[in-house]
Amino acid sequence: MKQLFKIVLILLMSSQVAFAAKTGKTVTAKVNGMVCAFCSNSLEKKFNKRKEVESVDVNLDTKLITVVFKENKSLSKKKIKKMIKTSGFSVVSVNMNGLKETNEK
Amino acid sequence: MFRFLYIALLLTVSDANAHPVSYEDGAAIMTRFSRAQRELSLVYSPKWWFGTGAIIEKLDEDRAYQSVHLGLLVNRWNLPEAQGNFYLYGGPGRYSFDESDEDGSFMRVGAQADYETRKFYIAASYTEYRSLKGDFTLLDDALNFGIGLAPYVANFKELNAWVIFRVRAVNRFEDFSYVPTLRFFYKNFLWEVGQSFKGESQLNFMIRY
Repeated sequence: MKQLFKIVLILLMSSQVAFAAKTGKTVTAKVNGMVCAFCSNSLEKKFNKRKEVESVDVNLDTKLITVVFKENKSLSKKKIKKMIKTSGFSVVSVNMNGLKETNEK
Repeated sequence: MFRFLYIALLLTVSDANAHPVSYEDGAAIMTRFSRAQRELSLVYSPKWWFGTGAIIEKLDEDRAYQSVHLGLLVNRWNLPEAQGNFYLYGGPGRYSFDESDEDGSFMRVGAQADYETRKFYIAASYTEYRSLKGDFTLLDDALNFGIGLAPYVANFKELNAWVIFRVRAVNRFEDFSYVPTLRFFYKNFLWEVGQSFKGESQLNFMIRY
């Protein structure tokens, strides 16, 4: 019985890991200067052009950009900062949420 | 002296959405209609700090201008709850005046500044139209000033509304118009409806990609 419980537990844990991988990793960035709806559109447009990005959400209330990456894909912190800066905004912080940085340029 | 102080005051603070520069890889088409004045402009921004395009304007029924547009974002102040911008713009073109049967080349030059939060904005621009013949005679000028309040805060995919009080001065500050305006925008579309104190209606429309 104890053995069966262990097997079920292992199966449940592995299914959780598999689920997490499919949903992709998330990075959040705090940005200054985002005051208008068009601002959020410009940033969404820029991030959505990247093949690594699954989805992006720009919250004007919290001034946070949330980027969800595709499975096993990501962008470096440096690249994320550059994308925000070249959209005309200032980066306050980028939280990689434990995501290992890649070397892509 | 008063004129320069007045311009300096206004330029410290522009129209929040009719920017001379759009966002990077963004384009904006804008139209402005009133009884006597019309404008059609197309601006594309290859960089977030630079925009280019073309403008066709009719400052009154007789005075028409067509010009190239070059816009430069000189400085942007990104604050936690606000954004300020200072722009320079201009470009060469052709003018034609029906009444005097005169035409020629001209240069459009101007400056624009704005400060905006999610609920408030103040903006001003000043544009001169100078002949490229001989002594660069001032053909026309236009001062635009706007102050706006948003009754509620909305995101990009919601209907945004603004109440704006707009002042426009032409003909070397001799002809002022005061236009209370309602501005709405939803996603990439912006439209404004206003009526001046003289009873003249004004309709503006803009699409941004």
